[in-house]
Amino acid sequence: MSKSVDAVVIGGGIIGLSNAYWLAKRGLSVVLVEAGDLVAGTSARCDGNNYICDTAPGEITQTMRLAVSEVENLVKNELDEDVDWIENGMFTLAEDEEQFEQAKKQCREKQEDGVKCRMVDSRELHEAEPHLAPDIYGAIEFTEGGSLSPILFGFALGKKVEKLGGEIQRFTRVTGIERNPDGSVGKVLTDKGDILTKNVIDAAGVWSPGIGKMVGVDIPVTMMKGDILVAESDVKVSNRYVCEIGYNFLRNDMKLDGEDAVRQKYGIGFLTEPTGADNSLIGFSKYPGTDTGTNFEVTRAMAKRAIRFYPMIADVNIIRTYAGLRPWSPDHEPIISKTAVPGFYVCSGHCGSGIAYGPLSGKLIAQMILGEAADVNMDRYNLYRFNN
Amino acid sequence: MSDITKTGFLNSAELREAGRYPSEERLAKGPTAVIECCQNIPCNPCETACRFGAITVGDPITNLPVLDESKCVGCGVCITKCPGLAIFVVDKSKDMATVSFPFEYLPLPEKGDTVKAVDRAGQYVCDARVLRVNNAPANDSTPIVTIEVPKELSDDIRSIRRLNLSEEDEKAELLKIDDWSAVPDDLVVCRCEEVTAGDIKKAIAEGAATVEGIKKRTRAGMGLCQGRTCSKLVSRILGSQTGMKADEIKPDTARMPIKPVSFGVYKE
Repeated sequence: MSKSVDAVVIGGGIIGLSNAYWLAKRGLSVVLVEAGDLVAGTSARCDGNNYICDTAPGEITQTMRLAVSEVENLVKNELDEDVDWIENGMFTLAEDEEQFEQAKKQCREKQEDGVKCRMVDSRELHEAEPHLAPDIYGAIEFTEGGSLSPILFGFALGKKVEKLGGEIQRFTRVTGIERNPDGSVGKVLTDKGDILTKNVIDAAGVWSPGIGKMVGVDIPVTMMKGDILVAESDVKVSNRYVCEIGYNFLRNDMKLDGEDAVRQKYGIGFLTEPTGADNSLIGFSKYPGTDTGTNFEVTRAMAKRAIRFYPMIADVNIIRTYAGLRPWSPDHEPIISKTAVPGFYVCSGHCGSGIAYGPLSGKLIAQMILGEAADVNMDRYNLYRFNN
Repeated sequence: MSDITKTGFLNSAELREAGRYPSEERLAKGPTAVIECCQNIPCNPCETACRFGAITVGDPITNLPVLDESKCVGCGVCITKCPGLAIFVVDKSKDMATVSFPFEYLPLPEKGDTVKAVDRAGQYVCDARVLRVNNAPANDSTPIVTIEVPKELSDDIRSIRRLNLSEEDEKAELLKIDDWSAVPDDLVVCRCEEVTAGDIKKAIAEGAATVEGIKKRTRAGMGLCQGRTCSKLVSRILGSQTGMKADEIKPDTARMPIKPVSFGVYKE
C-alpha cells in the first residue's frame, strides 16, 4: 500500500528542507524526496551570506529583512546544531571617490528602509580591515544579518524536520506525478514507491522545471553559474564579509577590453568572507552555465580581482575552487507560488539568495497550503507574473 | 611484445632488445645488477649508491641509468636505494640461479623457507628456497630477499607471493588485513581537519552514503591536502561500515587546482 501524507516536498536543498521544516512545524505530515543526498547541489556550492546590502529599495528590501530575521530565528532559537553563524557585520567597498558617492546614495536608501548601516571613511575602514589595499576609499557598513555554513545549515534543518515528525527519503527519484480526474495533484511516483498526497511542493531548484513538466507547469528557471575560490585556513584575509560596490557599475552594454571584458563576460566581482572553519571564501562570478566544473579563465580573473583589494592574498594558497548553479528567474525574484494545477506549488528561482530566502519561502508556502494570509504580498512571487 | 602502458613493466626479452639486460656471459660469471628502470624521471640514487662507479645516469638527470657490467660486483646496494624498486641482482654462475629483489612487506620470509616465486606480473612461476634475507639498518627498511630458482626461470622471476599462500587464500587474507570495521574511534583519519574514525562512523550512521556525504558532514578531505591523504581511508571505512565493495564507492570529486597554489600564481 502506498503511504499517504499531507504534503510531499521535492528537493533536499535549503529551499526544500525549509519547506519541510515549516510544514512539519505547522502540524502537517510531510515527506521530503531527494534524488541524492541532502544539500548536495546548489546549496553545497554557494557562500552562505545573509546580509541586506544590495536589494532594491522598498518592498524588496523589507521582504529581505523579514527573510534574514527568519534565518536568524531558526539559527538562534530553533535548530539544535551549530551552523557556524558569524555575525560580524559587512563592508561594501568603494574603490574611489566616485564610487563612494554612489555608496552614500545606497546607504541613504537602505537607512530609509530601516536597515542598520552607515558610511565608514578610509581610516576607520583600514583599521577594521588592515590587509585591505591602502587606496580603497571607504565603505558602507551593514550590521544586520550574518553568514553561515549552508551545508551545516542543511543537515541541521534535516535533523529538525525529522524531529518534528517529517520524513526524509534520500536517494529517491521522483518519476512522475499523478493527477486526480479533477486535475488536482493525487500521487507522487518515485523509484522507491508511490506517495499519496494532495500537495506537492517543487523545490528542486535548477531542476524544478523538469518536475513542473510532469504536471504541465512551465517554470522559467534557468541555470546561472557562480564560482568560489577557497583559501587555506592558515591566514586570515578579512575580518568580516566584504564585497565591492564597483561590480554594480559594470553593465553588459559597455564596450570593454582586457581584464574588464573578462569580468564583464563572466560577471566577476570581488567578495571575501571568513568561514567558521577559518578558511576564506573568495567570490564571485555570474554567467549562464550548466556544469559545476571551474575554468581557469574565471579563476584567474577572480584571483586578480581579489589581489586588487587584498594584495597580501597573492601569497595565500588556493586549496579548492568550486562552482554552483543558481536557479535563476527572469526578474531575479523567487517564485513562491500556487499554480494552475491545484495542489502543485513552486518554490524555486531564488537566484543568489536561496539561503537567506529559504526559511521565509517555506513559511509562505505553508501559509498558502493552510489557507492563511501570507506575511508578505505574494503577487511579486507569483509564477504567472512573467506572462504579462 | 607486451604493451608497457598496459602491463606496467618490460619483460626480459624487451629489456634485452633494448640493450638493458646484462649479457649471458656476465651473468654466468656471478651476481650482477639488473636495472629494469624505464621511466625518464629526475632520479639518480642508484648512480650515487654504487661504490664501483658501475651505474651512470649523468646529465640530464632524467636519463635512464646505464650499467657497466664489467664494473658491477653484484653487491646489491643499489637494490635498496632505487625508490621505484626496479633493480634486482641475478646470478647464474652455479647449477641453480639466484634472484635478489627488494621486498617491503611483512611478514618477511626466513632463510630456508619454501616460498612461491612470481614473475613481473605477480603470477606464480614455481616454488623456491630462500637463501638470504638482508634487512640491515643500512637498507633503510628495504629488505633484500635472495631466492634460489632454476636458471631458465631466473630472467622472469622477480619476487615472491606476499603471504606465501595460494592466490585465492592470499586474496582472502589480504582482504582481512584491509578490514576497517574495527578501526579505533580515536584514530585521526583526516589530519588537515582533524577528523577521527569515530566522526566518520557517526556520519555514516547518520546517513552519509558516499565519500562526498562524509566530507560534507565531517569536513574530512576539505583541508589543505584536499583529501589526497584521507579519501582512500574514508572510502575503506565506508565500505567496512556499509558492506559496499571498493568498486561501488565513488571517489570524491577532484577540484582544481588539485595542489594548493598561491593566488599570485594566477596573476600572470
